[in-house]
Amino acid sequence: MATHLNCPRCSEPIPVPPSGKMETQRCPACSANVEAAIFPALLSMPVTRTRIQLAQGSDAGCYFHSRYRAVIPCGDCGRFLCELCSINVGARVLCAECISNLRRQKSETGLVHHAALFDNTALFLVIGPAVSLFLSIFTLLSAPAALFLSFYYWSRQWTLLGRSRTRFVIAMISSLLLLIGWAVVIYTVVTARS
Amino acid sequence: MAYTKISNGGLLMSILPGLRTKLYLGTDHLLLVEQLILVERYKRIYFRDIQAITRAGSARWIVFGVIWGLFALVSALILLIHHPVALGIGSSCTLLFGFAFLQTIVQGPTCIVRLQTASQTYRIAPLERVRVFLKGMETIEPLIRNAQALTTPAANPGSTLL
Repeated sequence: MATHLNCPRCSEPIPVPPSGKMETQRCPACSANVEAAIFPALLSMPVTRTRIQLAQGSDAGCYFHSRYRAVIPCGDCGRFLCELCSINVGARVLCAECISNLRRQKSETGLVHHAALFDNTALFLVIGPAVSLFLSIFTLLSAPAALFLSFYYWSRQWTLLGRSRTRFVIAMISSLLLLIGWAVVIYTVVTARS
Repeated sequence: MAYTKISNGGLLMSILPGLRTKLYLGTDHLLLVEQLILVERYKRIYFRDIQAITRAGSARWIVFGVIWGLFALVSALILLIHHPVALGIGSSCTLLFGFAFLQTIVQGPTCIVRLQTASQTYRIAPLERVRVFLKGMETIEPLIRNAQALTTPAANPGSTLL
């Protein structure tokens, strides 16, 4: 049971009164006035975890630890899991392997923990070199790359909360303008030489 | 899953690309979305796992207020140079920093907010304005208490680490 809170400013432990109600308390380390909303999870008695038991006789063994007694099946693959291998994910109990697999599936929105932002990448490829004086030559390469990213990920980009396509549009327009600019420069140089 | 936005971390966080942290409310958890330029990371904090939410006052708003105020003042001094270029630069900078100064003052005092679970402590940057924090807590606190009242220790053998 956690019997202390951590000061939000210095992370030093602050004791929690036995009543569990703490409105304002001074941090003993940094003297900051700390206000806290304490919830029952902090004060609840420690849960007595079942000890990992060895499988005996007709007991089903854990898929990953065959010597241990299985206590629950995985909510996704159905493999028998021991106390050690069962992981609570929201309302489900899963094995580590299923969590790893499900995290890669966009349909399992409850497990995805990151998303790549290709619209920002495209925008960064165009704007980054364009605004810096010395790197502007690289727009010759980065502008087509940004254009490709914008078209390719127009409907493929996925984020948990949804995202507007404004950045893609800006990246497309900027890269097209840059490419037109480069075409004009190259044409002018070539015609001037010839 | 439908999410409701609780806070997007203020105007400065919204303008700066790639440094955004937003807090959303899910059915049984809080979703902390951290955007780091090209990647968005999602942290789910289940109501049943939340042990405490702590807050300590911070002087960040005063520091930023002074910085923006000084910048606005210096920019305003540029206007004293009677030149069209100086007038353009000075007025635009004064407007920009003046707006930042006013925005800092209007949004009010800042604080440091941390959310504690059995395994981790999360800094909740989107709630680090006292007014936003109090408003957010009005929504979050009853939900956490309800979730933990419904969950008995026997039905909740472990905390979720995702």
